[in-house]
Amino acid sequence: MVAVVAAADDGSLTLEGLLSRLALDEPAEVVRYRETRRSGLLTQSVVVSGELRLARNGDIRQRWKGDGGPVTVRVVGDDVTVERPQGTKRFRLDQAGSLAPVVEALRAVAAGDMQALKTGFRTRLSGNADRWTLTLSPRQRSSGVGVAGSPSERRQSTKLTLRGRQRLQRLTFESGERTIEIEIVGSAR
Amino acid sequence: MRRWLGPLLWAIGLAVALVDIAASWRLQSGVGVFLTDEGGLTERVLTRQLREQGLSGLIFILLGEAGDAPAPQVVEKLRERLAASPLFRLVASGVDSSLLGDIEPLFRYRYLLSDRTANGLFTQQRLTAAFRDLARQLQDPAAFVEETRAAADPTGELRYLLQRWFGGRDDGGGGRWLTADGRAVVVALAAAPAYELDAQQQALATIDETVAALDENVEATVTGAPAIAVATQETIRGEVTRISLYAAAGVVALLLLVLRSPRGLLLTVLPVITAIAAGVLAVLGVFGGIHGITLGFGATLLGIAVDYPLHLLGHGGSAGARRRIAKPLLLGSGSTMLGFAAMALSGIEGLQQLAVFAIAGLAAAVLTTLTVLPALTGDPVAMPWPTSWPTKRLKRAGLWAFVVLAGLLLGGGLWASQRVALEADLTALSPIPPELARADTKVREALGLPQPRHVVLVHGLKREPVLAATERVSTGLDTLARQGALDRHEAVTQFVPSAATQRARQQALPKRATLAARVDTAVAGLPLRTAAFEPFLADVAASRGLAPLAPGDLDGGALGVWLSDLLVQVEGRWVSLLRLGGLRQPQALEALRRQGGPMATVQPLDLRTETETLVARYQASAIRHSLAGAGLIVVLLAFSLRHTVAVGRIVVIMAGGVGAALVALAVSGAQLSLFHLASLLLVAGLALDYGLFTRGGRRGVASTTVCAASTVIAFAALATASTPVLHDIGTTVMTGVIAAWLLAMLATPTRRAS
Repeated sequence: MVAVVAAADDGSLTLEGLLSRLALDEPAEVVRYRETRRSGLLTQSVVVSGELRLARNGDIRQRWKGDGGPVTVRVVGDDVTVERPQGTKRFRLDQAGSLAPVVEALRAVAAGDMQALKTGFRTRLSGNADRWTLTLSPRQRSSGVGVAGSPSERRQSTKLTLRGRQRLQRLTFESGERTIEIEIVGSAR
Repeated sequence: MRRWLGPLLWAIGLAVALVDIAASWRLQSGVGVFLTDEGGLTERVLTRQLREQGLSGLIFILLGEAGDAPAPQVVEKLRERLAASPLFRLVASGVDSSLLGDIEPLFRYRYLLSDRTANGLFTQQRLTAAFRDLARQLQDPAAFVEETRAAADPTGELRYLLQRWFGGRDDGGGGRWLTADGRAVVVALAAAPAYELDAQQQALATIDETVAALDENVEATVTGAPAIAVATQETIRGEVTRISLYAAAGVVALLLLVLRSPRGLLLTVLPVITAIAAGVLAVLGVFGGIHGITLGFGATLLGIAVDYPLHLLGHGGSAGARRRIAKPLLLGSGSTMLGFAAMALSGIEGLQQLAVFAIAGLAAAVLTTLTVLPALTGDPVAMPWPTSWPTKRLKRAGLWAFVVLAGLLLGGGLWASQRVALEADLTALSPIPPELARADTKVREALGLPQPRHVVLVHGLKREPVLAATERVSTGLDTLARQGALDRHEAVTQFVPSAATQRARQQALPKRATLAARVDTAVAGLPLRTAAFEPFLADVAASRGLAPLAPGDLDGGALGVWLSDLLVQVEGRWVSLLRLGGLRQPQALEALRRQGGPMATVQPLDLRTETETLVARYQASAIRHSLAGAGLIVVLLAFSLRHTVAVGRIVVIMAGGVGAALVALAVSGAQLSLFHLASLLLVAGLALDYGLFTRGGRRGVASTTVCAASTVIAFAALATASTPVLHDIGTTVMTGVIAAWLLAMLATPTRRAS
């Protein structure tokens, strides 16, 4: 039913149809992922694998095993909590640099919320129902930028690219010389 | 036609005065106006602090209940909505760009502002450790490193500065502010100046509306100086309205009963309205604003202006009556004005306001009574009641009763004058509702904002030596803190150091080639690209050429507000205030005096002791001026009456009234404040009038009785006030007036009273 809605009569893909397909049916979904980070400051990529829980209400939980033990990042509203064996740290989402647009995009997709997506990003959809690419360019934010976000960083061109087939498979965040690629490798269940 | 000239001019004058008042209206509520502008720098700084109520136009909004802060997005929603309003200059919920204003100047000047610059920040060892730490963070997805910033600031200097400045005031993660009991805090600064209460009220109303419009049901407590000032204004407005209604109703009922003529009633009101308008206009004109207490007390004080038309009407209201009452009226009002004139010399703005209010008001009332009312009275207004009964009954008691009562009252007054202590607590003068003051204290404690009892003042003619001395004192305080003498301190140089220190830090910055070599060495063996740190090399090189930053350069944001409170200019001198927290050994501060150097003076102060000393000194001065006023009154009486017994009788009536008022004060347990002194002067003035007018025969006795009754009603209304000082004044004056009237009646000259 979902797949049928995703395709228009002529077989092309619409954003509305794609969002309907990607929206969570369940209150929450847990997937396994692999994250690859490339930085202009680092000579080599950083790869971590873990578990991502995405809830329809927008709550996000990310878990992986770090050097010092398990790390859990929770995003509830604009509140980010990082839990490590050494202690817990809390801060605002807008102080988490690259995390904010990724969270915004994931939330819109999980909720199938077209309006939120359009408000936060300029969108471009290409491909077809079986292999699609959704490019999101964050719109200029008027407020809520924390001290962690330097003006020069804010001026850099930032882009999110979502790719998939029946489901979301890959999310790429690019900002300046930094790239974060999150690949969904399967269900955690 | 000439008959109407006076009333016509009066009506025009009143209309112009009312328009002028409406245009220049400004109500004050701080206690600082009850301190003098004279005296040393310490006093002027204290006065300034008290006048401006310390830090601020900052409004604190506490959200949620203890241990139950609302969700972050709710706080953020409120912050965003308020920030979008043109009514606010600043709205912040934590250490972020909304709080700091433009972050770029801080970022540009980070190496000149950081104490680490000249303390080994650029040594190979520290740089190696910083880059190792950065590499670790960059490989940690949960570190959320801002890479562009890290490339320019690999040592995290800006983060270090923010943590140092605000570290104790956020929730530990560089995020939202929370109170100690777990409520979220939003800080707002209205666009309008703190003293523009109408604009502040509008800002506060917007906060209330915005909180109410949030989807979530959130408890909000709003406090801070503007909230207190607005609430105080509302309290005073409410009190004044209520008291005025009570007093007006009581006095109107009395006058209707006595005069049995609405026209007569109207005539008695005209001088009062004129007096209040003249008093307010004069105070606004001279001082640029009027204090709530001056208005509340002054308006009641001018209620005695109702006495003047009553004397006129009591004597028939005609031109003949004017001739009969002119002399005692001018003598009585002139003496009272003289008393207040002595008060005006006290140098205390609050008392000066009262004096100007009283003098202008009384003059306007006398002028209206003598020049306007006779033209309006028409047929004589009868005063059929009470005429004879009080006098007859009291007369029967005879002279001995006068002597006994006078003796008792004077003895009582002497006894009370030994028992009534001077009020040294300045806050007792404040019309601020106590529960609001308590709430504000709790919020400031919860936010870790200073409650400055102990400060160190550093002052001098030039800013730079003052800042340099502040740094030396600050270093001394750090040492004392390590020794356990105090917990912490706050100084302007912790934020923006002296130019000399900034230049020394510039000297400590390595040259570009040196730094590049150290970065190469630091990065070796780490998974970092050396070339990526070119912005760091460029920024350090640029920092070497920057002109030092001055505290005034950081104008935007709360940091600017903070700094403008820590470094002030008072009459050409730069004054740096170092606030101390948790001081356990005040005597340890004495050693800091040596840190001043030739160009600056260092003064440790206990604000509470200093303020109490100041208040005691001002009160002593006020008492001297009041006594001088009383002396002047006696001289004027002696000069006018030229009759020893007559003067003696009036002096005894005055002293008896004041004695009774003092007894009332002593019995109520109130302490003698500046306002009580003004009340005693008022009682003396009223007693003087009673003494003078009861010399004028049956009509004078009757009008005096009605005057005393109306005054008792007005001050009984004042005694119902919840503001302690207004309540005490009501009781004091009421008691004094009753005693003075009794004495005047007992000693009414027989020949004329019959």
